[in-house]
Amino acid sequence: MTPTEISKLSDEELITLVVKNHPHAISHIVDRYKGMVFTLSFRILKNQLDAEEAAQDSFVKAFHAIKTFRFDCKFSTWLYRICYNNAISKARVYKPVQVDVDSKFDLPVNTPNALDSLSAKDRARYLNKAMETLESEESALLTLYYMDGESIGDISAITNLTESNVKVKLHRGRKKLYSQLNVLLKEEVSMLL
Amino acid sequence: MNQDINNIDKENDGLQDEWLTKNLNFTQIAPPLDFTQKVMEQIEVKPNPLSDSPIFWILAAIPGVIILWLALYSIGSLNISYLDFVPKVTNMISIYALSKYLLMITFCGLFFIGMDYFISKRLSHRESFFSSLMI
Repeated sequence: MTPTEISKLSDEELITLVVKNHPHAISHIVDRYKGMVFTLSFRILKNQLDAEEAAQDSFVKAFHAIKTFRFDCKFSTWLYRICYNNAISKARVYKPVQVDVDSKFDLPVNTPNALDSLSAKDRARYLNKAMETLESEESALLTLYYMDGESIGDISAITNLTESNVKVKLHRGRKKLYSQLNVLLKEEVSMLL
Repeated sequence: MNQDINNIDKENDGLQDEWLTKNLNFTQIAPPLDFTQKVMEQIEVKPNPLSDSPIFWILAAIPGVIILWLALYSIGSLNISYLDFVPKVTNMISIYALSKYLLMITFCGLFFIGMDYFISKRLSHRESFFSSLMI
C-alpha cells in the first residue's frame, strides 16, 4: 500500500494497519493528530519544550497500548485522553505559571469586534496570550470544545470530569478568556475606536 | 461549529461561539518539523545495542559452548554404539578444563574491550582504538 493510499484511510483502517506494525500507518496517525495533541499539551503545560516532550510521550504510550483500543469511542477521544492525563500529570510536577484575571472582569470593550479589525496573525497572537493566562484545565477544555469540536460527552470522557462540571468550566473559561482579551486589547481598542 | 453548542451556559460572557470556533482554530500550534520522526524513533523496536558489541558474542558463546559440552556428555552417557566417539571427546575435555579456558578467554576479551573503551574515550573522533590502528 502506497503512502498516498494510506493517507486516504479512515482512523479505524489505519489502526488496523498500526496493529500489524505498518510503519507508514503509524507516521500517518502521528501526522494526522500531532497538531491537536501538541496544542492540547501546550495549553496545559504552557511551555513549548515540555509540551513537545509530553506530546511525544502521549503518542508513544498510545502506540504501545494500541492493542487495548476497542473501537468503543472515537480514536481521537482515546488519544486525547492519554494526552490530557499525561500533560496534567506533568503539569503537577512543573506547575505552569498562570495569571489571575478574575479581578479584571467587566471592562466595557467589545472585544470580538476589536479583534476582528486585526489581522489573523495578530488575532491568533492575542488569543494565544489570553489562553496562556487561563488555568490549564480551562484552556484544555476550550481547545477541545472549540478547536477540535469535541462534544461535551467526549470531553467528559477525555478529562474524567462530569458533563455538568465540563459545562461550568467551559463557561468560566470563556468568561476569563473574554476578560483577558479585554485587558490585552485595551490599548489596541482605544486606538481603533 | 461544535454541534453540542447549546449545551453550555454562556449568557452575557461577551463571546460568540462562531467567533470562538473560527478564531481559536488560528491558535493551533504547529509542533517542530521533526516531531513525527522523533516519535517514530521512540516507537521503532531497536535491536539490542549489545548485539553489535564483542561483549555480546563473548556472553553468547560461553553458555553456547557449555550447553554443547553438556549435550555431548548426555549423548555419550547413553552408550549408543555408533556414537562411541562422543564420550572420547567429552573425556578429552573435562568440564573443569572447559570452564578454565572459557574464563580465560572471557577475561582476556573483557580486558581488551575495557582497554579499547578507555583509550578511545581520549580519541577526538571516538572510534575504537584497535579498529583505528588496523586502518
